[in-house]
Amino acid sequence: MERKDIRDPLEDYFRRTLDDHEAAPPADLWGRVEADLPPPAASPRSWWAVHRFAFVAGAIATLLLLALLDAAGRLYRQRATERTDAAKTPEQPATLTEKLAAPLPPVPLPRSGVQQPAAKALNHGSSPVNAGTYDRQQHALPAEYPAASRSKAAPIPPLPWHEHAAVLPPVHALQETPAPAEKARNQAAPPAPQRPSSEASADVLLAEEAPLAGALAASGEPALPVRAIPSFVAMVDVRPALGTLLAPAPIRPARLPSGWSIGLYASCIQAPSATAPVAQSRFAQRMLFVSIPQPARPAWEGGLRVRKRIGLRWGLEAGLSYSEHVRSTAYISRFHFGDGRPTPGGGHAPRREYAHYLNTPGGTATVDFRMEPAKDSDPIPQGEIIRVRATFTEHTSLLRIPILASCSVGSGHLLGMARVGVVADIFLKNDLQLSSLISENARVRLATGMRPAVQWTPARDMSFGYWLSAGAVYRLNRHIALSVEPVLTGRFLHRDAQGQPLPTPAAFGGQVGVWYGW
Amino acid sequence: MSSAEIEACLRGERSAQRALYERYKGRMFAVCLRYAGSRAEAEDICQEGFVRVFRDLGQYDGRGPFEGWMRKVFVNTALQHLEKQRRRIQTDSLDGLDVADDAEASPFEDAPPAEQLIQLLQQLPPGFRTVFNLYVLEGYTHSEIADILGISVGTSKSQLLRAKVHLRRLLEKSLVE
Repeated sequence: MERKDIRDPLEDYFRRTLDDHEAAPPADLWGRVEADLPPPAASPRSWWAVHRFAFVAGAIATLLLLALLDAAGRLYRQRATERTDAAKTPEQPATLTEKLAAPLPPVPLPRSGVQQPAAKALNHGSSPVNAGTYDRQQHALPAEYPAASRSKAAPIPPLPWHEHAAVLPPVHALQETPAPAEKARNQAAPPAPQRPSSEASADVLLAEEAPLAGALAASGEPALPVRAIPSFVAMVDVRPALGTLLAPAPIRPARLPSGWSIGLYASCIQAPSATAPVAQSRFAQRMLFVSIPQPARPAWEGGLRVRKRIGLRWGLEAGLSYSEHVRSTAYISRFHFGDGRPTPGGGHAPRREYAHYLNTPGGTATVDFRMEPAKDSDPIPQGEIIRVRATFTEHTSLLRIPILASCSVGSGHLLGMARVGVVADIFLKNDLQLSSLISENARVRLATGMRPAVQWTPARDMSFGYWLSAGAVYRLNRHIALSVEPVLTGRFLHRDAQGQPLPTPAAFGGQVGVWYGW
Repeated sequence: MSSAEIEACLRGERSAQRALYERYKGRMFAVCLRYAGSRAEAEDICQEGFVRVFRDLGQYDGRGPFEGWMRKVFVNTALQHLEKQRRRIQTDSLDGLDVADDAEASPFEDAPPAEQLIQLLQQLPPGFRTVFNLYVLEGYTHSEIADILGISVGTSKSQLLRAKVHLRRLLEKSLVE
């Protein structure tokens, strides 16, 4: 039984005098200390301080490039349209739509009383569907008709429609002779107007003519003579007659005009347990590590992404997300008692010092600990096998910056979507805690009063990884879409602050997101 | 020592490390002088102690006073330094040692100042000096000292008694002179 309560005047005097005593060290001591310290430039934070601006600048440059490509594409399409319009002549329509939009040739005035069957039906208010039976071949114009040629090399000047009456062949003569009043009105009428150069020109034309024909019929006036309508116009004219019943529904644009969309997403990533660390001999121990994976907790990630569509199927995405992960892993080191370095203490049997060397995805660590016999009277032979179970918990917070290329397949409400790209991981928090250190040999215990020393070297503040996902996108409407995708992600080769390579396990999970496009 | 200052030191900021050094250099160098046999040896211990403090600063969990943790680092550094110097701690037996019970001796009211006491300590053999420092100035018990130094409890007690006898003689001699 120690008696520290007995106060010795000598001890009291020394304690009282030297307790708060200070002595001046030499002036050059700080210089010697500083020479032994690692240079501050080698710290990982300063490395990140340099590279973070480069990365942010790269992200901004990517977005600017996307915007530039978008603007250039719009300008190119606009100029291409203008060139196409300028190159095409009205006499050479290329497509059905352009044929419809092309101005009609001047309409000749019927001279005799023979009316075309289709024209009859039209003028008497019956369905213009019958106009589709009009056969241009049956009513081919004679060779002397100057409008028969549409060649660009020999353009035909438009003639007033009433002048065509003189050249119409008998087959085009109307069966009924128009009244003198009508004839006079026809002669006074202006030439046929140019059709609007739009896709709906045929509809506009018929819509304007049908009331006119009906009004003339109701007023008792003689029917207007039929005009020579090209066959392709007559075939399209069925649409307004059928109305909206058989006409196709308005076509909803499959893609939004701007191609930009923004999405909120959440991911649940399940990383496998850390790989078994590589045993390193520090004090000549024969260390054998066995990794015991714990029930891994999933890593949750939430973030924001912006997507720009490029072309019909492809797109580029960039964004920002936050991820948090807690990983717990137990290691068992197996060695001989005599492998440790002898250290003072431990009674009759000397203590031994050992070291764990860990290599985890978050960094490397060296754990120094000392062991001693549980009983002084029980000496431990040198070859005694010692097993120590050490449990470590890593707590990681990440800021993730993904830059992905995406590809969509399909159309309609349900699309397939695949994304692949690079993810920059920035460590906001990267801690390692020694949760427990237990000897599995009852004859040996951890040295009393000695706490294990953990020297943690975390990974570099920034690392790069990959992202692969493929799933389905359901479009609720033109603007909002939901996505569900399985995910495979991981890191490329990365190292700790001292350059040691770290394991790069792949992680699996899922991602759900909601996107808004405009 | 605030957590922000510790974080700055952990980041390797020289200004923060220099501030920590300037704040504690006097007290820590005094600790080194007590354990060392000379001033040059104390300087070496102090240099190594500060390097270890900056290296192991992440292990400070903030539960106790920072100066206490730092003091332990310096004491451990001093002990390891002594071990490197192969100054084996004497383990003489108490047998045959005539130690007078001088607990009732007069206090040293006219004793020299702290520097002279440190000089007296440095004249002690390393084993005596180490046990005296650990027991009297650091507050360890004999069993803890036995664990730290790897000696028995009886040896620790004997080393302390011998150190006190030596110190008392040296002190009386210095007072007479």
